[in-house]
Amino acid sequence: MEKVITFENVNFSYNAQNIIFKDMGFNIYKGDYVAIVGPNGGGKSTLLKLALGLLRPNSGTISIMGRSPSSCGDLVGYVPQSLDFDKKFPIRVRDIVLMGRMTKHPFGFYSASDKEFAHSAMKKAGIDNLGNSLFSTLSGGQRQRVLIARALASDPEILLLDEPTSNVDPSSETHFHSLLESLKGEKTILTVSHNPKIVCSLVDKALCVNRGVKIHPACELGSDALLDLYSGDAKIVDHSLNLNSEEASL
Amino acid sequence: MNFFQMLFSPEGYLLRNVLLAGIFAAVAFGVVGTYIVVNRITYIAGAIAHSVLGGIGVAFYFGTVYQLSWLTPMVGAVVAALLSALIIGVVSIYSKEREDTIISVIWVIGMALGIIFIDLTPVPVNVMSYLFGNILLVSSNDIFAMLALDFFVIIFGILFYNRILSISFDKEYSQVKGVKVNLFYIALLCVTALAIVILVRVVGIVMLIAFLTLPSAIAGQFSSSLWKMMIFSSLISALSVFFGTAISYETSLPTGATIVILIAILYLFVILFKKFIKKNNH
Repeated sequence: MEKVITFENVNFSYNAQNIIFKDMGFNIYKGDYVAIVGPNGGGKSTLLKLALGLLRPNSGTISIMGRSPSSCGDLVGYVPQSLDFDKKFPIRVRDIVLMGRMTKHPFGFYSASDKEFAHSAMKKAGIDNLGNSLFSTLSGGQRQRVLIARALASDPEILLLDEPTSNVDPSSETHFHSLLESLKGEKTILTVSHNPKIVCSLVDKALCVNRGVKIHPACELGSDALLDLYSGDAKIVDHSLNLNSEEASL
Repeated sequence: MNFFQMLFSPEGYLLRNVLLAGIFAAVAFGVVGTYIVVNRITYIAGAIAHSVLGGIGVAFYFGTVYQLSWLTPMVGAVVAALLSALIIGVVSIYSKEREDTIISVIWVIGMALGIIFIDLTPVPVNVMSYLFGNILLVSSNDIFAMLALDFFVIIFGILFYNRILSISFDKEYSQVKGVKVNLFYIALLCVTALAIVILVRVVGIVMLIAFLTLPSAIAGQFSSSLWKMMIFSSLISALSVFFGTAISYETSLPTGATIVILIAILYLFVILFKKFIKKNNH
């Protein structure tokens, strides 16, 4: 099977006291649907940022389809957890989705085919009626769909998602899961998730990250194993349960 | 003669120059100001503006004492502004220091150097015209410099519009997509620095931030995209310069201050108007 993401002997630390990964390595194969799970502070987001080329390892090699992560803008679709953006930023949904097509052009302009890709991505994300809406007027769930459409617009081989449903309403979450399921097999998908529902029922493999990495087939991960992973007790958070309090604190 | 009679009379060439300068300047400020406002770097623009006084002071001193005719205050201003932009850009990207501390340091050192060197200069220097601007002193050379800057800013803005839009909206994602985010950030600060040097001639160091941010802030209230915000902002700047100059001509009030007050009133009016509309809709 074709290796898509390879980590080999990767060492990474933010500073001398805080070593995140030591001699870490794993392979993700074409068409895998993988959940990255683990406790807070265990290195889930760090791992994703290393794969995206936003962070560089202290030593070791990371390759995305044989290339270095920082030159893979065209291969990778990225959905961040949320967005720290200027609340008054004047921008329409369509213009954000088009940003997914940016790698294809060194200078300004988008072509008609870019616009088609953007449109079909918006359709898949269920927001094709929102193209002309201002981003600042959307709800949390709608905004997350826009970011998903932006990631899909580049027609990427690999989708990397950082807790994509932690801030969204239940209907967006359901739509989102069925969207990922429909892409299963076609794309290689890596998603950070706190949601045991996804981990246990949807994905093929779980990448367990706690200052090191282990890959399990998802079916091996009964709730006992998951509980171990979160070092014991009540650390599993189903975001759908405390959605309201999160929305309110935004 | 009133403002409009003067404007169209043969001896009104000075006034026409002034207005032309203001309108050319407005285009650059509309574009650059919009980037400053949406990237939330007003404070950086303020620091660059104040550091310009250091460059002007140094240029005056060495230009006079060593009789270097090429070392004009304008040259000093450009060097100081670009240097400050580079330092702030590099520090904010690579250093672990607090960014706002560095910005304040640049702000203060620029002012202090300027005041010391102007004091040391053996000939009298009209500091007030740099601090508060005097659009009436704008020369034809300045107008050409503004035209060149407009040209540069517009080309830069069109060629890299989508990249700058993406960086302003979401830096991390742009970096994933392979955009040279840091390079663009420093380039943006340098273009800002050049615009600031030009603007010092018109409204002066102290009131410059108002001129760079208020028109864009007003335009942002009713724009649905960045390029519309730039166009509205340029229009608002140009109209403010025109009417501000007219009021200042009729009343003999200082031009720069009059223009800034006019924009500020417009800003307050737009904010209140929007609040009022929102209330009525509920």
